[in-house]
Amino acid sequence: MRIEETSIPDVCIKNIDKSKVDLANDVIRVIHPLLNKDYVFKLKNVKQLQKTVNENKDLLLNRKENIAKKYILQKRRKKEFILLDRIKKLVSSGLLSKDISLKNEMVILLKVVDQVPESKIDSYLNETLNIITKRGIN
Amino acid sequence: MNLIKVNSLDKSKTIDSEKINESIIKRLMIICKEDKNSPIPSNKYIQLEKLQKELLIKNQKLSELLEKASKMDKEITEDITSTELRNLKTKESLLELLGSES
Repeated sequence: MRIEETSIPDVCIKNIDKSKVDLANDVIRVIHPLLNKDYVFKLKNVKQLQKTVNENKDLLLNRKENIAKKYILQKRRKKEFILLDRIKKLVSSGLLSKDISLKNEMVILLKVVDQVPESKIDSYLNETLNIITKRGIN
Repeated sequence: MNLIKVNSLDKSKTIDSEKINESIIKRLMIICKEDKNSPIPSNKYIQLEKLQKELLIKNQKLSELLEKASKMDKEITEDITSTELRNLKTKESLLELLGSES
């Protein structure tokens, strides 16, 4: 007789056939549904679904970052648009024809308006607004 | 000490097949015993179905969000492009005006 040390309680040697049947029933009860085709298919499906969810999460995060960057750019371009509109008003009012240094400054600004730092754009926006308000230019 | 005595009464079997039988039965018994207090497999199946439903809902929501994000991305991109175009035209006309004034 072979005896092995395990953590499982003894099988009743007097009724080993019954033990085998019990074990077989346990095996069927516990194992069968796991091996069931439907279960395996479902498991595969769930794994695939989880993978898709993770991929979509990454994609969404990527899109979010991309939109955030574009939003910053959009804000910047809008500021440039407002600044150009104010310069246009200054030109239309004839003010720049009188003030040569301001005119030169505006010409330089126009050439580099899409490259200057945003703080500079903000400063020009304030400056041009002050001039327009002071002079009553519409 | 816990002992296991498996298949030892069947003398007709060869030692190798007996070893295999013992090994299989032992493993199956371990699985059965380990699973005694845990949810029954039908519950596992139900859990799996529940997880599948949850994942489907999550994926549906993610797809909707992705669609919204794509729409937003497209709108912002179009707006940036049109603003850049307008700015360029304004800039060119202003430079032309200021150039002709000097």
